[in-house]
Amino acid sequence: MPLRSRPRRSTRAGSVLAAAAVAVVLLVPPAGAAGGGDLPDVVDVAGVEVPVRGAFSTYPAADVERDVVRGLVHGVQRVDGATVVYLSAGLAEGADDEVVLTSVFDSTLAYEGNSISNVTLVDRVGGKAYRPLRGGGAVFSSKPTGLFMVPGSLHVVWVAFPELPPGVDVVDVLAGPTDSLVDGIEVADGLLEPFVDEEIPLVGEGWPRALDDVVLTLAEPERSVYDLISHRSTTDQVAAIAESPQEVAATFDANVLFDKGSAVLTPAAQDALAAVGADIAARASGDVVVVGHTDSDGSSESNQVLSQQRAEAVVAALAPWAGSSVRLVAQGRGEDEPVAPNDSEENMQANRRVTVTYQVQEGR
Amino acid sequence: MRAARVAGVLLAVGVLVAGCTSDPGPGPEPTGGSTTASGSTGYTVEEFAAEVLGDGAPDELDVVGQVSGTLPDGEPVQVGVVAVRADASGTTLELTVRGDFALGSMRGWSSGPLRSYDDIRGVEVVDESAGGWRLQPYTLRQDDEPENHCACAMFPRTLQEDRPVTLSAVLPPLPAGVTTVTVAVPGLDPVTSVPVTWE
Repeated sequence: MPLRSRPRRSTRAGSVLAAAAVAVVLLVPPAGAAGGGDLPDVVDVAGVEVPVRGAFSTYPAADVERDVVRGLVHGVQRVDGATVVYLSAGLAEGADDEVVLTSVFDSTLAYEGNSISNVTLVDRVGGKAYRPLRGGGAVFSSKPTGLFMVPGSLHVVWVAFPELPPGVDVVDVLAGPTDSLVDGIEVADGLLEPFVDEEIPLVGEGWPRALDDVVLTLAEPERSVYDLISHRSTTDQVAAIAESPQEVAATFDANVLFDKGSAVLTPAAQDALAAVGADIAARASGDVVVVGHTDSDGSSESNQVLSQQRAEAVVAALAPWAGSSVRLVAQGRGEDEPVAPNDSEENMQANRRVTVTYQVQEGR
Repeated sequence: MRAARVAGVLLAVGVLVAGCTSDPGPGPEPTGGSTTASGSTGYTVEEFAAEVLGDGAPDELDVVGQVSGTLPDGEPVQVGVVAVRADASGTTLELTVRGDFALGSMRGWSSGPLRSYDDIRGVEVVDESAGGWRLQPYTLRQDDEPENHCACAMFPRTLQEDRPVTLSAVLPPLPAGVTTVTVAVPGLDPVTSVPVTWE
């Protein structure tokens, strides 16, 4: 049975570990799970209290021909102006001793060299995702370059993210070269202590001085915040919907909405449009923009006309759901904005589509 | 609130609580640690690392459904569904993949019409009930930039038959009460009647 632990209550500001006065292993039952599967909340390692929030496995540089890397998430810690994530990773005793830590925790071109950027936080409830801080030519993480992983050791790193908004209690962590998932990590407060001077200590030696000598004002946190886009489609795949916290974009298969070359909605179209119509009635505000697209079959001019007529037909079908707070707008783009090269029937079918895009009101 | 969860990699740590559970899960026997007066276990730096890192063998996770097939280029592949976990905030899909091929063979799992990605954003969890949806992994968007990041696993550069990899994804919520779903992997037969674990 997989092991899991329930989310932990956040500790007060300051050191999460300083708040725990007794160095013991705290056992918590799994939430909603019958039977066993308990996981220690905090482990005593050489007298240091080590939170264990979750675990992952991966391969150095995503190369399965190399030794397995195993790692832990020790904390997602909220501090003033940032969120600090502590992770560890290591190779089993007897593994290759020439594996660099940057094969697990590395940076991309968008980040300064000698930083860690391949960690992501996902806030499902708030519809946001967070990437490591960047900006100002500064490094907002441990500096892993040049460190070889010692087999049989767990090396600790930290990575700073934008400060999570109040109310964000649980996040998922994606980490390492294959974006290994550790889900349901409770956000706690304060840096992990006791501190040690090592840039990248081993688990149990203490915690690195995260954010020490880091000028947070150099960070541009807005560059590290992303909208989480949900994707779903109807089981018949007639409609595909991409939704952010602010906007819904529905794409309909024009082959179902219309007969070939026609701008008259088929009987099936009404059913296909009903769900979006109801959603518009419930949540939309402002302009509801309906755009028709065609493939490249036929003349450009005729495709432009057909796409406009199809958009207008969809607008007419959605009109009964549109209240006074929205305005329906029809646009034809003809063959000018393909989503695929018009070089196969499958791709041309994908290009024959109608999109409906609208803003949604917060909390509705 | 969703439960924090530890994937198979930490099964080794299960031994830390072996005395307190009816099912501690697989993993090596404890190699060390001392018992405190409270019955808790303390570890040295080396002992704890050994417990977590184990013997270095790849994860062999139990599956609740599986499918074998071939990728578009003819490479055989086996996909196991380890779990579909759901709560009100979202759905977690955990797969284990076994095969012997390179990254390029798997791009059909994530390709859009115009470009493909090196991740598994093409996998779906399908609610087959009336009015149900096909759910795909979340992507990350910033302004009008391409959605290069996904709340899902990246492919490894290669796969080897004897080294299965675990690939996970975060998807939108399922409707409350859904007990089984279909897991669809592009190019393979769907895995039907996969049980949903609600948390």
